[in-house]
Amino acid sequence: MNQYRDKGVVLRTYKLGEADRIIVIMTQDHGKVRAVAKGVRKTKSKIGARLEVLSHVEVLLYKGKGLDTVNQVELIESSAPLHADLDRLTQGLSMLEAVDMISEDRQPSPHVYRMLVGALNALAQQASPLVLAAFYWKLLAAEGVCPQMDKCVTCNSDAPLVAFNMIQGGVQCKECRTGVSMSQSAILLLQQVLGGQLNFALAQAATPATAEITHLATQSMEHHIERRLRSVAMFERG
Amino acid sequence: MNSAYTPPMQALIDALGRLPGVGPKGAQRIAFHLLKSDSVDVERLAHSITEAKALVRFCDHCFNFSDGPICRICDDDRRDSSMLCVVEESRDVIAIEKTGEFRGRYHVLLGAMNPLEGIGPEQLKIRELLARLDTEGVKEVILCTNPNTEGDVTAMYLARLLKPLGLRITRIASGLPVGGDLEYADELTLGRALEGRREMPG
Ligand SMILES: [Zn+2]
Ligand SMILES: [Zn+2]
Repeated sequence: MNQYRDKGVVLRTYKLGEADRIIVIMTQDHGKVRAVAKGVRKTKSKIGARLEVLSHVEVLLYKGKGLDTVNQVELIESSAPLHADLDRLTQGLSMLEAVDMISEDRQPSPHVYRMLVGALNALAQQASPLVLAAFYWKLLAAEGVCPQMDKCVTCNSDAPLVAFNMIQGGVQCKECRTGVSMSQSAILLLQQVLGGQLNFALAQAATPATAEITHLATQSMEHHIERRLRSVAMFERG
Repeated sequence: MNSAYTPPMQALIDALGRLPGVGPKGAQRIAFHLLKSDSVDVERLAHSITEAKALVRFCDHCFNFSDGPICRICDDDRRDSSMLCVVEESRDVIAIEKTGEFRGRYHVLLGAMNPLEGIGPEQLKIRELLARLDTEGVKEVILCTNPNTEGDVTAMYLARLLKPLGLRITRIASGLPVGGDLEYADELTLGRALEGRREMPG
């Protein structure tokens, strides 16, 4: 079968020639796929608009030697709510950038696809200060680099926790402290994000603790992918 | 990679391949075409490139293409200085001028923000835009960026930046192509066109 159907989120698009585009799409069953969409930059193309980044689509793809070719595109979820608000749009783009960085071409990872769709839906429904950070932490956990949050990562004791060490991957007690200091409320909040109380954490209003976790999430993600996240840098660090 | 071409030929193909919209195959095709052409024609092409590069520049004011320090539009005092249309590229100025609908002035950003490529506000002519708003008596800024992700980010960023200045900030409506059938429009264009609907005179 040279033709296959899949669902996916458009991560990136690049111009190709006069009227074509290369689409990078995170699919459910075929991993990250690069495909050519022919003629989509012409005004009359109906599928061009459906292939903007952040679109959740169902596509019919034709397998090629290098790049696949997009044949049909149906919209599952419009990215219009995300495109209508600057904060949501930039947070959505930061999600895409991280997924693009951690995913290998044609390496099926349905859980990453599902997490991305879930996070984008959450982002479209309600603006939560933690939605991007929570996505990054969950993604890191799925990558097998979940930080140790319940006891000191260095000495494993139950002593009160005061810091976070990114290299060692967890919280630290006062004795062992070598990482950056972390407030009690931020530690609690991150425990909730990673410990099955995500919805509770997402409902929190913006506080210094949510900002702390967001900053740490970005740093941890950048540490993991070994490069800076451009979209985060543009808006967070001014 | 070992090239099958002589070094000058390969250099030409490489240079052509760096042009926007030209892929490796296109670059080869153009190179072969040039080498088969009359040397007079090739000279003429080379000359018009160097001449355009030497004589055409960006307007000091609005960053539109210009043949002098100030462009034709900025120099025209019949234009309405209270309305400023912000566009991504010079070709957008040309497109809007062709409509004959706009009598205000322009500001060309020379690009659009692209967070995924790391192209931010400081790479565009935004500081220069702010400086103009201070001195030119602008009352309305019309954001005419493209209806895509980069254009959306740029327009929303500018709207947030400019709102506190007490100006009227509008964005060009994105709607349906004239002459097209409603049923053939994609759902995103149709949705935006609905959102940008306006009152009908009775
Ligand atoms: Zn310890
Ligand atoms: Zn000018």
